[in-house]
Amino acid sequence: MKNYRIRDNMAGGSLGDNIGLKEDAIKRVCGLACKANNHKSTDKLYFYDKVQISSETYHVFSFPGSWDPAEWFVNKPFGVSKINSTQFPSLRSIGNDELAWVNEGFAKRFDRLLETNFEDVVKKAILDGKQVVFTGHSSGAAMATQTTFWVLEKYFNPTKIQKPKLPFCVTFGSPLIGNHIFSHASRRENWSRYFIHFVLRYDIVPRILLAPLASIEENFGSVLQFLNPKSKTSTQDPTRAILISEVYKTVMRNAASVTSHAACILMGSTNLLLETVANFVELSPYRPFGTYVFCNGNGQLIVVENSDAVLQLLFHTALLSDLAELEEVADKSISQHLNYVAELQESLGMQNVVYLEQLEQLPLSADGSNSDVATALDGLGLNTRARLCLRAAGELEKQKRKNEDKIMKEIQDKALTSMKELQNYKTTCEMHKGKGYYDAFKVQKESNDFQANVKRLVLAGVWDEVIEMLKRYELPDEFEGDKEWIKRGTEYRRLVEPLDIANYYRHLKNEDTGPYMIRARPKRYRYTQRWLEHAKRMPPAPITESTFWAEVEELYSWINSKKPLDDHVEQRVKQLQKDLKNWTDDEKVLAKDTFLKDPNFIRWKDILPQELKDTSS
Amino acid sequence: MASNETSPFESREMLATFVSSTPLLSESWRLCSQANATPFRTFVTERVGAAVYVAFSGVHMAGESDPNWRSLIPLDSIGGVPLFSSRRSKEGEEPVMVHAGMLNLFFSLFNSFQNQMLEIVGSKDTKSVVITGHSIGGATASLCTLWLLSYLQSISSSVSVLCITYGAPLLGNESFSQIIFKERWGGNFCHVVSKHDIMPRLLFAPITSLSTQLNSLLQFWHLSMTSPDMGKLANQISEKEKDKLFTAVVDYLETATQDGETSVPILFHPFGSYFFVSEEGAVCVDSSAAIIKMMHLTLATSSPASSIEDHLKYGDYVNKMSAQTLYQSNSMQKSIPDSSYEAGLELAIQSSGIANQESAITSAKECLKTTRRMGPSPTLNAASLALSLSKVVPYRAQIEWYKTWCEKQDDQMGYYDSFKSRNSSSSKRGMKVNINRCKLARFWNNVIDMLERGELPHDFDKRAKWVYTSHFYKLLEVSSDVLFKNSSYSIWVEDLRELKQLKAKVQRFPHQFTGFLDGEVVP
Repeated sequence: MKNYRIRDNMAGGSLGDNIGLKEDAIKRVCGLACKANNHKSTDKLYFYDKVQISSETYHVFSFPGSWDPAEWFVNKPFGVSKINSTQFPSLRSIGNDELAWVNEGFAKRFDRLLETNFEDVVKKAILDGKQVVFTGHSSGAAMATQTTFWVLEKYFNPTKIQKPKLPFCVTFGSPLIGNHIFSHASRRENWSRYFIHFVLRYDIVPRILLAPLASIEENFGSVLQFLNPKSKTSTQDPTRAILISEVYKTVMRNAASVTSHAACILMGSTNLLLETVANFVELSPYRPFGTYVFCNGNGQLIVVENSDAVLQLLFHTALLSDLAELEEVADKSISQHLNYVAELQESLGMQNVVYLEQLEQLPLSADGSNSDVATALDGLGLNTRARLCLRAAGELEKQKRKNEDKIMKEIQDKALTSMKELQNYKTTCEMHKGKGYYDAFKVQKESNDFQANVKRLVLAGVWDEVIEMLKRYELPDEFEGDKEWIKRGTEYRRLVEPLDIANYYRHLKNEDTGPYMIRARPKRYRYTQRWLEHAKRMPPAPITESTFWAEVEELYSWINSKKPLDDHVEQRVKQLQKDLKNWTDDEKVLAKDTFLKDPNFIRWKDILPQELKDTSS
Repeated sequence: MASNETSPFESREMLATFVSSTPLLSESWRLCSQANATPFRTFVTERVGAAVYVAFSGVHMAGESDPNWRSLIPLDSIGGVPLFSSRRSKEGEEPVMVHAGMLNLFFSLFNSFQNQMLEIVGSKDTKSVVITGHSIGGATASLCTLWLLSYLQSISSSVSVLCITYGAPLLGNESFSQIIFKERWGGNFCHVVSKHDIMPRLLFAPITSLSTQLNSLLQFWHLSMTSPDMGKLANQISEKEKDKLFTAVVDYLETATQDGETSVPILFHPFGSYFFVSEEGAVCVDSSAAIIKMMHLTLATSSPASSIEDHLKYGDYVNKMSAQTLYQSNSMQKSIPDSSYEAGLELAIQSSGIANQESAITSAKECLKTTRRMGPSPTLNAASLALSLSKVVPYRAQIEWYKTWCEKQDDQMGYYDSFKSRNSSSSKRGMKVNINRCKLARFWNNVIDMLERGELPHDFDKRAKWVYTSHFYKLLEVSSDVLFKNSSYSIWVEDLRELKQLKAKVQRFPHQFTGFLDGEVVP
């Protein structure tokens, strides 16, 4: 399977070997992350250390967290806002053109970070060629995460020639910081494996943002002080136990809603009640992404990469065995958050690592098996319901790959043949009839023209299915970043879209619904264009080599109607002439034979005013 | 993708977990208790954030005792608002009917309810409405919800509506149940039914001969709902009479849910989702057949006394469900199957509270299995329909081409006349066009059928692709790829209605068919 990283050592191997960062480095980084939160200074936004670990040099950037409730929830109910697409252009769904949601408080703090000399220091470290690690504990981890995405885009996007060593982001007790598009986008860009999140079993911080602010508002400030390692709040505070239990209960109840709703979808529930009830409750949009390492407290580390499974684990691993242990577990949910250094010193030294893969085949019961996976699941306290949720997460991932295979088969069985026939049709029109295929198709005079229309419609059916699946995130996240699919989509767009435009203007549909480019353009061309533009990190082009015919038709219609030429129309004419020259001579994505002799193009050139005629073409 | 793929997971217990984890049950039950305890108030309302809760009292002190416990009357409108307005009953179908007594009770308080609802729904602060009720109040709540759903549909409102009932009696006949399903309103009803409660099951059985005991029972329940002490004032029902009532219901349910020739007719049918609760958990079922069977199996393991007392214990169940969100359920006693589906089924059985009765387990598993979603999921159905569409679209293209070709012939005949004349020079081409047209018709008829059977995603009829292509099928002359005019949902509904009417008129394609299926294009 291309695009899907296959682990060489399926059964085990050291954590360091598999994730790319040595155990010694992780221990050291964890120390620095927690140290940043213990530092006396309250105004520093980052710390930079150049350290030697086992004869290797590391540039480690650590970030202090914030203990101000207003910086965790800027607004109700969940404190999210649209990501800054200038800083993070990749954190979006490309075809759907949907931006990620990010925690607004954490995003504002990141903006403040960029106002310091941070950018220069990072640039120097990246170009040094040594391993760079961004790390943080608690909300400092949110800063490390944003920084890593920012660096990956700035220095490692596909258009960059110089490729320094890829950075790692290692977090400890990180809150969730954004919605499902963080997972979707990081996997598409193949960045997901550079984010490694360590979570202790009961730590409340990775779960907190699953609860709406209104439900924990009253006690949230106090709890943040309990979590703040510098806080002088005594552990003997008489209200501590009650406050912690209340917040824990509320967070877990909301986590139950989020995870059971997600599990119903994973399991394919078709009961309409599911959607109705979801309209009545506030479900958190936050979702995990990257690689999660759960520490069960017995020295075992459980590595999970499936973000749907991680979401389920965040809830099920922290469940009580019975209500009687509420106070004890609630206290652990705070104390464990402050215990990463000690816990990881022990766990990383034991080399007891389990990778939860092929989730759809996990054992469903604690049957006394001695396998690593069974021991890990038992150690996390997972019951049958929890294991079924993990299986469902694995099954969904498998289904997405099946969907891609199915589409690939459609392409091979039907689309390739139709594409070849349309290519032949295009060549025949240009060579034998001396005109473009645009005009031939528009006129629809020969039976070959009719056959071309049938092929066009068959292709539309295949590609529309792709679009339907993308809309519902039913294809692997890597799909829209795959070079082969981008190539297929681009070839399809360039060859077939002119026929759609010819069909549109042949029926004069522009007179009813307006120009093709405004509202009439099908999604199968919008999506495939966005794929290419994203891969090349180019801004969206209003007119492309596959849509210029629509512009020709609109300009012809305008000029032919004797309406006065204003500056805007003149500008459009000049831009089109310039673009055509660029596409044919420079980019070579369009052949002159395709349009120069086409009657639709000729008639447009003929009615141009003298001052606008392009003598060079 | 195998076309007969079934879902590999059992999700009805998980859905119950989701509902239990929200505040909806505890908030709605709190209001129900308030309504029950408030003398002479038929309903109470309360705003909770962006949601408004309306709770109907299950207590009706002065209620007249109806000698005929199971009479039904037709229902087609409430307060001037036609219900199910976009549906027409097919010929020979039983009319939609509801319980006469409950409908009359509803009408007696409708005006005051309507006035408050118009105010609530008209407020910009209202995003959702929860209508709830315990016992007979649940039936009233259901009827109010139907009115509200129809009203909101008529004004194109986006307010969400959810009806939660506790131990509500059955309300309508099979047509009533089916039409709610077809309106896709099943997701707006959540009927909480406890394991032992006989009230939701009473109307299954012909119990007219026990009307005296039923009235006494109602009085006991109503007084107890007002306050526990007042229940002692009710006429006591003897153990013998309790047993008689219990046996009548259980035996009828058992016979009714058996397969084969011994089956007896069921007058009242469940609608919406049923939320079966027990000490061990909950399971959420939306298939009518499974609901009836579960009603029988859970009650059959009960006792006459429990079946009466359980009607008053919904508060305990609500508290327990809420608490169970925070801790793991008791681990299952027996060995767990390795199949995901089988294991999920075990969980569902355990949560429904019949895990201790071996005889009931087998039957419950069987009924949940048979109502498991067979065939691909609705989303996969929609995806495969897209494939089928891409196969039939060329037929439409051929019809278009044929139309153009006819217009260019020397005889200047339109393609209608050309098709009709079937002269020798064009008969072969015309025959092919007719075959293509029949293929198109078959495709769209299949879409309508799948939609009615609930085999497509609930938003299927709102998806742009299908709105456009169904419209173009009707027109048969424009490109399907780029036309966006008239691409609103209402146009699609109109087109769908016309397609259904057309389908009803033409049962099959006659051999000597002389016109198009689309009446509008017959010259």
